[in-house]
Amino acid sequence: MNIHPEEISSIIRNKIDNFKFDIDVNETGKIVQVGDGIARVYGLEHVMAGEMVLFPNDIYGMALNLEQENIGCIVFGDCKYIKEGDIVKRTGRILEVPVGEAMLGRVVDPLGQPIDGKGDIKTDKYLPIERKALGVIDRQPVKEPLQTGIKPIDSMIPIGRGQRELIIGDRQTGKTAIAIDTIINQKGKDVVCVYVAIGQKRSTIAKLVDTLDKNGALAYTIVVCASASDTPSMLYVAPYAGCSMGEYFRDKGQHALIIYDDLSKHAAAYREISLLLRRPPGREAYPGDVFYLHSRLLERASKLTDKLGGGSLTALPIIETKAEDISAYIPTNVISITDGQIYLSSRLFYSGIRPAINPGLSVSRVGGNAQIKAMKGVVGQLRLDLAQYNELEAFSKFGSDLDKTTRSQLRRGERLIEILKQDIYNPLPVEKQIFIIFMANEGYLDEFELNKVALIEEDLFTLLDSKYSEFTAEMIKYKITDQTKEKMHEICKEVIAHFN
Amino acid sequence: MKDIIVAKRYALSVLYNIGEDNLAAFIDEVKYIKAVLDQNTELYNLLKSKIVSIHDKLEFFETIVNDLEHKEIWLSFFLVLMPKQRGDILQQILDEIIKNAYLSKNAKAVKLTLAYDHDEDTILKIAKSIEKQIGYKIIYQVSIDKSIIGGFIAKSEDFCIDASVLGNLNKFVNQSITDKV
Repeated sequence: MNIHPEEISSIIRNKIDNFKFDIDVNETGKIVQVGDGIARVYGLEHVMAGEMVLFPNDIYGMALNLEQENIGCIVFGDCKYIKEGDIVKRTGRILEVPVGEAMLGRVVDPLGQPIDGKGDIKTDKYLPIERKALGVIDRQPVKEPLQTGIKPIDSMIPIGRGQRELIIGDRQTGKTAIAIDTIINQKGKDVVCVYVAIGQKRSTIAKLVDTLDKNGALAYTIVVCASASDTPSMLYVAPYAGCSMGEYFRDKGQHALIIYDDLSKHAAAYREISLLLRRPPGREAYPGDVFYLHSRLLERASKLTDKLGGGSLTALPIIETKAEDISAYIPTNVISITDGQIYLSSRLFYSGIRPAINPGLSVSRVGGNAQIKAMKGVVGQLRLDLAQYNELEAFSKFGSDLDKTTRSQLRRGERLIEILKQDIYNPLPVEKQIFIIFMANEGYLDEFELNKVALIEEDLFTLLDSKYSEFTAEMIKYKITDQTKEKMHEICKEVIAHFN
Repeated sequence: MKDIIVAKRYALSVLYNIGEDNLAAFIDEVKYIKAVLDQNTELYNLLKSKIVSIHDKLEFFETIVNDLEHKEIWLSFFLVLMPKQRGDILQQILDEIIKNAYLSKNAKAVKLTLAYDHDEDTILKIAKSIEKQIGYKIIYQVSIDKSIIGGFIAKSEDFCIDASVLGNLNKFVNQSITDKV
């Protein structure tokens, strides 16, 4: 690299010429108490709620509690560098994070600072972390599908762009896997993804980033990382920061997907902050505004009107339940805020049904409008068939003699469950999903043993890729006609012929 | 530092008992007591001590306030303060009394730091500009610090005005580091 001293001199000279000598006027206060990520400050009478304050050693904080004699702040940094009696300055700014295309492919902390060792993020665009959700006039109903690549979801619980769909379940039931699959499936679909890790182990996050990278999904993803070792303040702001990063793309007319993994830990972090700030505890010691905490966040997910560019921000919040109790405080709150939920059952997970989605307890309230017509055409009674199968299965345990209809229903149900199973990090294109569901629904798999189903599925996909890619590409564009159905039957018979 | 809040409460209650007319004289007395305590740290340590009896402390304190106009108020205040073991925040209470007395007159105490000694007119001009900026009258105390190179720094408990050359140079350095070339 050549260094030109004259050039550097001229830059410095230029900077000196343009520098304006001005007076810094700051309202200041004194720290009364500090610890546990919280600081109480005496003074700063005119500070605004949510305003950034500057502690010594360039540590920032945010004013949360405005009381008569002091203010309660959360500290975004190490409290050991701050001590009682230190001067705190007002900044007059609401907390902002960097946004923009430069953030893509990066792992950042909740303040937007890179933590992936790939150098500075060069962006001059900033957005406040707390933004008001859009009004009714600026929105339009959810109408475009957001394909997750997961068979049970895209067929029975479809998600639309701009929707808020909760993923709920106990620990180790595959909640994060669904989110990751969904991100991977957005490859080449012009959807920007934001993954917000809240209170997770750093090793887990590193593994996740590696998975995204290996699957080529990191290039269009921003990972906001507030790990278990970060302060509760960082965990608290992480989803809002991630949301602003996603909103930037939505406001530009692009489509964005944001995953909050998970909001149970976010609520726990907020409870910690609230108790330290001495806010009155309510149910399960959560503060009174814990509903608003999540509702204002999830309301920011939206599908904009065409006038505003038609962009969308789809939110997939994750909630971890304890002992499958979905009637606990935070789960019920978030269920009531979102447009549906995907319920993952540990019973199903351990019985080998993965993804362990319980179709009976899962629902998508608005996604039906967004589901592609071809999928709608083949899904038909899938949900009902599965519900009937579940009931019959329980009932059949008591009796040995079953009539022919019941036996065939049970047989069909078993095969439907088998085809809905899917490997982790292996999202499936929608045309393949449509075909395998069609095959099972039409009874092509009924005559085969369960262990053959996976092989038939594999064979079908190979055939579709090699011989019928044009047909499938055309098929998903329109409603399934009798003519299309005829062709689909032909393909199914061709596959079955290989196994007879 | 939690004591600031407690000290403020005591200060306001003392000021409540002093009329508007007597405020100026009372503030002089506060400054006098503050100066005595600052100069006689041993005496202040005695007043703070939890071993020394209240009676003895009162005697010491009486020697300080004996000649003052508001002696009775001072002694009563001391008798309220001591049984509650608040002797250790006496200095802070005195500071808060001064601060709140100034505030009642729409004024604030300011520490004005200059790089060099200036004539009275210049300092008055600086004071006027600070008053304009903060919207309060200021009662200033000037100190000289050559490290600020030029200009001035005005510090009060709740604001800081940095119009020094040093501050601007630091700002220039920070801007140069963060700005894209």
